[in-house]
Amino acid sequence: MAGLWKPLVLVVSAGAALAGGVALQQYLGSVDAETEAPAGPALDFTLADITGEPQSLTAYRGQLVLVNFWATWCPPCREEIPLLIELQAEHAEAGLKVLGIALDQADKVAAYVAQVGMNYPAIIAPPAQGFELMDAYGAKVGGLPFNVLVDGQGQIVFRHEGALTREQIAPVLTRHLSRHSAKGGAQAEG
Amino acid sequence: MDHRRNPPRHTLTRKLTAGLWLCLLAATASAATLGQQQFLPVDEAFVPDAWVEGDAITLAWRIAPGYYLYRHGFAAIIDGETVDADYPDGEAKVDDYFGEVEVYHDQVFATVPAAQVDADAVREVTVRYQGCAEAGLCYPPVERTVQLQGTR
Repeated sequence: MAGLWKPLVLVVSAGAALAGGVALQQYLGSVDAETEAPAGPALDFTLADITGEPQSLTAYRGQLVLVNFWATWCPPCREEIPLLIELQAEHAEAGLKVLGIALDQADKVAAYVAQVGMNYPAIIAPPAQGFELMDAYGAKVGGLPFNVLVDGQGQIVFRHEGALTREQIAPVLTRHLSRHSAKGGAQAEG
Repeated sequence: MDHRRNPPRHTLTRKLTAGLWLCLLAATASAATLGQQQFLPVDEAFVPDAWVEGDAITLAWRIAPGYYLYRHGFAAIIDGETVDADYPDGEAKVDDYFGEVEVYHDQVFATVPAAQVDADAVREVTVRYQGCAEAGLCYPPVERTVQLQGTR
């Protein structure tokens, strides 16, 4: 009987470690997605898009805004743009606005935007200004792509360095768009 | 009472405490492994170096596993002038925007030949380079000035 203690403790420990690991990973995953983002307002900017129109973050106050920092010389940036185009098309009515900020030359960006049929504003940032803005939004390594989600009150609620996948962003959008529509509904009823 | 056959309660408590610590360690390890991708700062992903070798200058970059540098992203600047350097053939990579490009993994060595520079008179070289992480992140071009290590 006594010989069973060691294997029993080991089995219980291994099982608990596995369960704990999975639970902690899920917890940390949600921290990455939501809470780890700086709990503060997103710095506003005013930059021209490729048509010369000034674009600012505050112009979209009340909408859920996905700010995507990218460049034509960045392969993972180009790879995620079709996803951003799809997300903009799928969630526009629900209140999502994608803003692409290219740290790049306007002529190259304009040609690429036409090639892929970008359905959201393509804003041009001088690289130094663009990287400063990324830094203010909480980028840690300063690489591209970098995505930041800003809620209707102008608060950063999510940020992600590196190429974004649908699996990573879809649940976050669903959660915040449902909050957005709930608030909108409540305001309409009020 | 034979404690070897019937462990007392405090021994069991110690074992369970040790088990819980094991759980915590394993949980932390699995979370770190499975969590969101973490990328290296650019100066840890790519580490430049340069030294005099005979009459020429050798440029070198140490590249972290999972990262790569573009051949077309290199430049070497000495005394404010861009100098030509000989770069080895890289690994071919097809880019849907740029076409076929060459990249380097692990490390790369280039040579600024003696015809380009008086190596004895050079104390430092500024190198420009640009690269990415295979996991889906690209760094902007960076410039770093490296003091020459000499074997004159």
